[in-house]
Amino acid sequence: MSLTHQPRTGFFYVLPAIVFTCVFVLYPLTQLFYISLTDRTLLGGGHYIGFGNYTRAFADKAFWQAFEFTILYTIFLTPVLMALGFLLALLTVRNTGLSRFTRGVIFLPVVIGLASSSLLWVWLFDQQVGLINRVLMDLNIISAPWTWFNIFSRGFAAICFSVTWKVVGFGMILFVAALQSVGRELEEAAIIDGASYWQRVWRILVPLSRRTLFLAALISAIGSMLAFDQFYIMTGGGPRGQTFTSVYFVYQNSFVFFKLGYGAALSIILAVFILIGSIFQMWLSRRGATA
Amino acid sequence: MSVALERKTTRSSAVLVVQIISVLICIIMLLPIVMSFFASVKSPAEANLSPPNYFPIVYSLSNYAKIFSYQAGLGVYVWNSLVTALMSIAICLCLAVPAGYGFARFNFAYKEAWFLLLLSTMMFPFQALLVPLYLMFAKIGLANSHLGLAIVHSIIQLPFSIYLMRNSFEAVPAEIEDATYVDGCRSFTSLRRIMLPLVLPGVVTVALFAFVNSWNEFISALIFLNNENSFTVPILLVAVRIGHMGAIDWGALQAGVMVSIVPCVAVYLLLQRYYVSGLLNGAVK
Amino acid sequence: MWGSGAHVLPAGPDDKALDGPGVKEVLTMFHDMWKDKIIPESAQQDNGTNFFATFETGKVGMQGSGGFAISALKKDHPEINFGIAYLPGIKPENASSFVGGDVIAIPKGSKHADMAKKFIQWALTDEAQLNGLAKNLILPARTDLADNEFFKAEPRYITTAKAVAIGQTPWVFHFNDMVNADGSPWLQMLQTAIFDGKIDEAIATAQDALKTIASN
Repeated sequence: MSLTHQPRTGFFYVLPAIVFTCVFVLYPLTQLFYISLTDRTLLGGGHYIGFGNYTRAFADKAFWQAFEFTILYTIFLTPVLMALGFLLALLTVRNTGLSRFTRGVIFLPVVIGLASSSLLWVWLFDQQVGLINRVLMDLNIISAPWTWFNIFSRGFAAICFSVTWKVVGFGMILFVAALQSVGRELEEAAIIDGASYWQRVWRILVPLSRRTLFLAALISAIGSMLAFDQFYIMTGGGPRGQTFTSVYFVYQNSFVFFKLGYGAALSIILAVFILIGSIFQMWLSRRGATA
Repeated sequence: MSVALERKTTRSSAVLVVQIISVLICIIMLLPIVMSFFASVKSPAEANLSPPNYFPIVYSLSNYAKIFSYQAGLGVYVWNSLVTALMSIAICLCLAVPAGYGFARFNFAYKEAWFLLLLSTMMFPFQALLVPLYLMFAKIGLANSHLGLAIVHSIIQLPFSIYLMRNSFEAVPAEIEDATYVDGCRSFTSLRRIMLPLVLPGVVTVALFAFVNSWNEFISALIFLNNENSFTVPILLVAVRIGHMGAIDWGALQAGVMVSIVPCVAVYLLLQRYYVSGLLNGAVK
Repeated sequence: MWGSGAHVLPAGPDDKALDGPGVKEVLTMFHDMWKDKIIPESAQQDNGTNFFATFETGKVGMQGSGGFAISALKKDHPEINFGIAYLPGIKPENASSFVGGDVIAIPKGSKHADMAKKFIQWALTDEAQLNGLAKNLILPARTDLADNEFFKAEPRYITTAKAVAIGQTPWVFHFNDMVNADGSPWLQMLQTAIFDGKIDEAIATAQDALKTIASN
């Protein structure tokens, strides 16, 4: 970093972004907090009720059920995405033509919208016209078409499969960058010492990519905690309301039940949890990196 | 000598395994999109067949015809999506490029704190912000406008853009700038003339992600746009999915998915060279 | 359930929910149909977006739908020979229908309430109902115009228009939360009763949930 520039000039470069964030993020956030202290509805009106929404939220079974499901989803999917992304990065880390092509193909679903992807997969998993059932029947794995979204485990599997297809490329690219920045000399030294490939991966490459792993895990976890589109489009919260995520629940309360005040309180509670989780994860990564 | 030979043959068989797996993975990743394309060119009746065919028996463009003339017409929606996306890109770049430069090259008070503040918006469910934002926009007249929507999209995209630009700027060796400073360059000129071309891959990556994010965004578009002629492509997509009085037209839906995917894929393929290196260089400190 | 005389949705916290003849019987009947496998499998996961698709395949004998289905079927599936009947109840003489979908409302605080009222009055005149709606094969809201010249060519429309007279409209403030929302108590009750067979449990749970919503 150059020390010959005036420090204060730097602040002016950052200022537009700060102003934008204050006006369009922080100010609405304070508005949101204020709304959460009222019982405002989408149709207007509402009086100040203090922390009434918050006490109600803590007693709301449906909210905590949605929250638990969101945590379950995050805890399951994040390691899967990290492991798969890392393995794919190992597969395509060399800069050969085929590797670069494969990387490009794996990354392709990342640039499609999550809504488009969900609509594509809800078609593939449909009980009547879906090709997944057709393939499984042709391969004699199942004898009659499955209903994917009426049984929790199947619906969960379908969602995870489709989301993995869509986002694994992003983690892969981050890991490829991390792997490529590991010096060849370290690996060559290990080879001379007789280390096998997987030993090298586990003992050298993974530890040296730790920072990227933690960062990717953090981004992925936050994304999973805030998941909404895929559940809205593919499961509609079913079966029996078991796949509502926290944001889906907030959306329902705010825009379907018209309870803006309550929805605002729920959002803030959710954000606080995510903040705590992120800080915890960052603290873990600091400890890990220096260990 | 035989150890080396042994190593060579295990090497080449390992390479073969890698190649086979790579090809298999490419096929698996591309298959859903390819099958969606084939569904979109089936006739409507065939697309709704149960059990389904893999490939069309008869090729037909009627699904696309239905989408093209849906309500206000596809052209209008594409234009709206495009305008919004371009504005969002402009806003993101104007804010993130200087910010990235400032964070990377200067050392001012509470720098890390400001950085965390700007990035913290990623943690918040932005759907919750939509309500106060809508109320605010309604007061200042931005409620039913593409500029308002572009601002919302930029809010979502800004943290990642700043992060990426900061890393891109940090990847440029300090000596290059020091040399120009010795020549009497002020920071802004240095930014414009020297740094910008060097961080172009990062800039392109930011633009690509901003475009894709804006093009595909649905919920804000639904809330902030009231006029049918202002709607964007995702709204069309969801309208098609809700179906015609209780029966989803799968062929038309996949045609809509294709239409929504194609620009993103095209932009990605065209700019791939830039942004892959941008992400590779910029994403890892 | 309406046909049988049940009172389904509570208007307020003191009102009854899912009360009266027909609630348990209807759910039991549907559950028996499911056990006999005469309800298509895909019905399990349908949340309303695709409910009519199986009838259009020609493999389903009877399906609840609305007047809009008549023209859709005639256009897309002319090979299906279909008839229209009122929604039945548990007794042979019971009949009912659902009336709704398109509504006109005047918001509180409207600046043009008088003009809006005049528009509504005009919309109910013969001219508007016949030339505006019936001519385009849309059901008129006025039941005395059910038997009109435009519908004579397609008598099935007359049946649907007459159904408006015996139909009901859900008339509770929290209808959205109770019925239409994803994962609503109504939907969960149907799924638990019909597909899982837990009829009494489903009704009890739904009654509690509906009453809770009604007291919001």
